[in-house]
Amino acid sequence: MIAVAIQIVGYAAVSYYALMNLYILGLSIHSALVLRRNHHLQRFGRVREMLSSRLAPPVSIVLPAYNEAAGIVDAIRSMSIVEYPRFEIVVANDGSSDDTLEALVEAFQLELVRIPYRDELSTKPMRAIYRGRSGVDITVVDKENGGRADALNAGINAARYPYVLCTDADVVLDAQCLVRAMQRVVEDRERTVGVGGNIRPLNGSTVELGHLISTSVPRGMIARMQILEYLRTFICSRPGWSEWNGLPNVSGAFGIWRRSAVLAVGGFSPGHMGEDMDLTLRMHRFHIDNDIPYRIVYEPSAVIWTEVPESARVLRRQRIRWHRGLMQIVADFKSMLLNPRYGRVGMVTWPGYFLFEYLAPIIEFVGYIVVPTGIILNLLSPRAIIAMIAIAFGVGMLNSFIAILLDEPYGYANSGTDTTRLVVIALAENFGLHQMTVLWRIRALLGGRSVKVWGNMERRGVASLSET
Amino acid sequence: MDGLTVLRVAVTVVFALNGLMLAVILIVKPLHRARDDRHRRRRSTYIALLSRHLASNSGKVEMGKKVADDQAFLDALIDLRSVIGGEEAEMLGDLVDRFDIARKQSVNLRRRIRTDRRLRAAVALAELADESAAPTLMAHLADNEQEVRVQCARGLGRMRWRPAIAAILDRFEVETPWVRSRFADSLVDYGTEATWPLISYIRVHHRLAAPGVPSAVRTLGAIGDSEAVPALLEVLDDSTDAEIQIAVVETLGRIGGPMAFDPVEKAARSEDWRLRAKAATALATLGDVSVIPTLALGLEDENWWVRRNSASSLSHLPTGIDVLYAALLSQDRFARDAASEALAEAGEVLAARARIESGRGEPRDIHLVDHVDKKLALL
Repeated sequence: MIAVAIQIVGYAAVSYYALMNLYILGLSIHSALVLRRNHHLQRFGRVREMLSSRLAPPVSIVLPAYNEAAGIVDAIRSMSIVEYPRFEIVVANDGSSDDTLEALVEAFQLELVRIPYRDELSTKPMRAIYRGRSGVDITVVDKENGGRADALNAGINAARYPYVLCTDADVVLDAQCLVRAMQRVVEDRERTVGVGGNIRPLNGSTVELGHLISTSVPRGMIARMQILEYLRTFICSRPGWSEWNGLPNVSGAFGIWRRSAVLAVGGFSPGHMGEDMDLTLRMHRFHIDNDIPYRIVYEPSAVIWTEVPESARVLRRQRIRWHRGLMQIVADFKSMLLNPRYGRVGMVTWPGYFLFEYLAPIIEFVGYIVVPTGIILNLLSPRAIIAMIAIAFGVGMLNSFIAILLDEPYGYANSGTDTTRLVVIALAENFGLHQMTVLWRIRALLGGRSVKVWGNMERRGVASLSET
Repeated sequence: MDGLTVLRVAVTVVFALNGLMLAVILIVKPLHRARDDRHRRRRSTYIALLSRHLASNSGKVEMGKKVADDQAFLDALIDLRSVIGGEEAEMLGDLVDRFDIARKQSVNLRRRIRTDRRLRAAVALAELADESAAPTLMAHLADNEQEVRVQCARGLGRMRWRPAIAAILDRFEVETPWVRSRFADSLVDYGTEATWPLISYIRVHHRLAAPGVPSAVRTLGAIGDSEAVPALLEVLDDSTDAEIQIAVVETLGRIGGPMAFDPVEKAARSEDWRLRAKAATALATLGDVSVIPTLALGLEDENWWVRRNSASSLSHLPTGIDVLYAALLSQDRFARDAASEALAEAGEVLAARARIESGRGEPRDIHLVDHVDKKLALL
């Protein structure tokens, strides 16, 4: 009986791994077709037309800041030169204990303004509102600490414009990211409630005074592995999901939302560890439940750069936090799973996410124990298992190669050295790095003290990245 | 074939695909990089050559006709064309004729080739705005590819090709909002030449509440021709569609003129709050102080947007600030809030504080600061 169970579980675990990579391969091929058309359209004229158009809706760039004194000023300077007809920057200082507020006051000549504040989303108490006098249209909401989601809600309350770009204080925006993302809004203003952007790791690139000078793939294996992960997600998955209006997540580092829609669903959920995905799925649920036509889209040419962890210790903490967030989301949105009422979100993307993101570490971990046991006890054919693992690894590598190839038109990692580094990591990540992330996610499932929500990502600040 | 053999075949196929993909990456990436570098270099060279040609004023250029087939030459021509004007633009126009560029790009646009090549041809024709290409651009206003349609309309607008106005307007009803807006932008390029065709279109379609009518009305606002005002007033009286009425009020505000006052003031008393809110903004752009009593009334409106827009408009009018200060004494707390918010936006709160601190504060300054402080205390 045990022998049969080991055989079934062993083969199932390895088959699952291969199936997961085949699912990603299918998504990659679909995304490749979507991207091909998108490239043609992006190359011609649209950006300039959008910039001079009377129809470009104004945008509030909302960013929460918690102990970001090291890079906040440079980050806002980089945001202030974004090419867009009309936008403002709203910083929600989330009770920082360092000099974040002082740095902002000094750099942007902030003055206390005593204007009434619309508390449309409930947040931790607001202390004061500042407005800049330096030429940059900046508003700073100083509030008590309540976490990222709470700070974003405060920023959305203070935002004056109908669309909000929710981002982070440690990112570098590409000059045309806003115009490229907002053209998706203008294309179909009635239905578009959200637009996600293409997040790329900043590590290894040269940044000066908040502006990206040159890009490169870093030497460190951990950062390099994440570059490949980001490529697979943002180049190979999201374009396909977006085409189906089934985007399960608009990343927290770059998400444009219609302000009224965010208010309608109650804003970001304070204390949630996956607040970006939570908001995206609530948007889907709200619009479908109320029969409101809508779309949430992804724009790959809207590029934003963010720092990713370079040490295993910080990456471990991040991955545990992400998976805890996913666990919360699985609990909150289980009613949408395989529910035909929710269309492609309920039947395709959310089940795919559940099966290949949430369950992946459990099944893989079981495989790590059962497969060697089965081989040792001579219950599983070593040749068959090795062949199945080889197929899974092979398809995984194929996905990575497709991602590297599809990323070529964006022109960021095309030098010989960068290409070689990415190819090497595509081969190497299967031998240790991937397994490490599986173990961390298992750790997340077990729960415990190792999860903190806010402020535990070690950042050097955007400005200091030029030192690398 | 047993299971193991199937697996072996699968492994071979997967790794063969990997090898193929790796080879593609290692070959394609350097090839594309080299191609892009070459293109950049050639474009720079062409820009230098064309600049010399323009500077020498000789009308001759030392380039073979084959350069016309080079995309880098076309890019250089378009780049240069966008930064020059007058005689120099005419000289470049002569080159376009001599190298038969418009005809070649027209042929490309008509051919069943890759979408990006057709798009490139459409962009080139739009940028060059050579009248010989107008029939082709007209024919492709109904192209299957929406970006081609947009570029065709843009090109026709740039060359102000009159027969295209009716054709562009005909497409208003069938196009998506994005394309319709781009078409509207191209009509703005025609200036007052497009006024009467737009008026005719609006007159025919507004009773059907056609989706293109608000765009057509706003296009008139962008053109700014006061000849459109009587027709717009007629539409405002006649139409029952809120979107059209809102667009008309906004446009009347943009065009201005004495005829616009009464209808916009009337719209400010409409039952539809959206119309009242739009009228409140339009009244400020009309810029006459006679609208102040209407805007003061708007401060006490039941709708937040109307109060906000009225207050904001008042803050932009010469004596409007005084009205806002007076509204701080209103019985209506919503009017007081709207006024204080607009005064804060206009920088009056900081100024009032400064006046009080320097001992020059007036009673109204104290009222304003008191009101704002009380609001803050409630938070």
